[in-house]
Amino acid sequence: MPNHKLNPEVWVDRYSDYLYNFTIVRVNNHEVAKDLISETFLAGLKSKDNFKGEASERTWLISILKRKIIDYYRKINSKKGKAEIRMSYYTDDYEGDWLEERVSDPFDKTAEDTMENEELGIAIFECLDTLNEKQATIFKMKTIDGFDTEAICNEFNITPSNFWVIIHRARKAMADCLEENWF
Amino acid sequence: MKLKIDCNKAAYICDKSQYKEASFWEKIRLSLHNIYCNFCKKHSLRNKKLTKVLKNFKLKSINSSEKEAIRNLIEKEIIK
Repeated sequence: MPNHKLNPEVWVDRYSDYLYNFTIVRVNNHEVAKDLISETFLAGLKSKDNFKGEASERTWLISILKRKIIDYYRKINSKKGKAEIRMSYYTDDYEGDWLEERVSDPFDKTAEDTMENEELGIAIFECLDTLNEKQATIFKMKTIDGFDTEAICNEFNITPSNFWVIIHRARKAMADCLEENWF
Repeated sequence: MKLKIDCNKAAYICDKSQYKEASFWEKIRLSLHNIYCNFCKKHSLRNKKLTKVLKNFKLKSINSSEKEAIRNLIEKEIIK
């Protein structure tokens, strides 16, 4: 069994996007998700002596994050009465118009959609892991963050044709990998 | 301007068009190429599928200044 080691210096670069996507589907609030991630990293640092090296770094961080998310929900529900289900009206005008409130929301996601989405997210990030670091960074910048080609070229000091070759290779690897694991 | 392009060029335009950066003429040349080149046609379809999947999942990321803040936090903790 490979003995994994922790490298806290590269945590933010390597895992913050992964952890963020994991958190945002669960708490649905950018600020909260961000705070939970920093807390996770700090908790990880504090208990890094407890890391046995059996799981990968990422799995270990996710297990901490899961606890943090549970804690977060406990905290916001701890005040008395907050944990109860409350009925509320959008505005005062709607008070009493119960039938309207019972209409199902066509944009609401079903549990199945959420689950599928989550699995796809895991597949995408596992595939991103198979790319080499430079390819992955550039691919993420272009595809997820939507940076301009020119901006990326300047930052990495490469020519546009060089850039497109990297994108092409990354896309090919991603397609191959996702085809194997997902489609 | 040459209307016929080779497969390398076709792949290049195909990648560019995934990010909406291919010009009108480039797109025409790519579609012309795809008419007679089966391999590139398949590649184009696959590439489009990948774009669609990534877009549907709506990958999000934290912006770099926020990442920097977290990084500083960690560094402080390491020094302690």
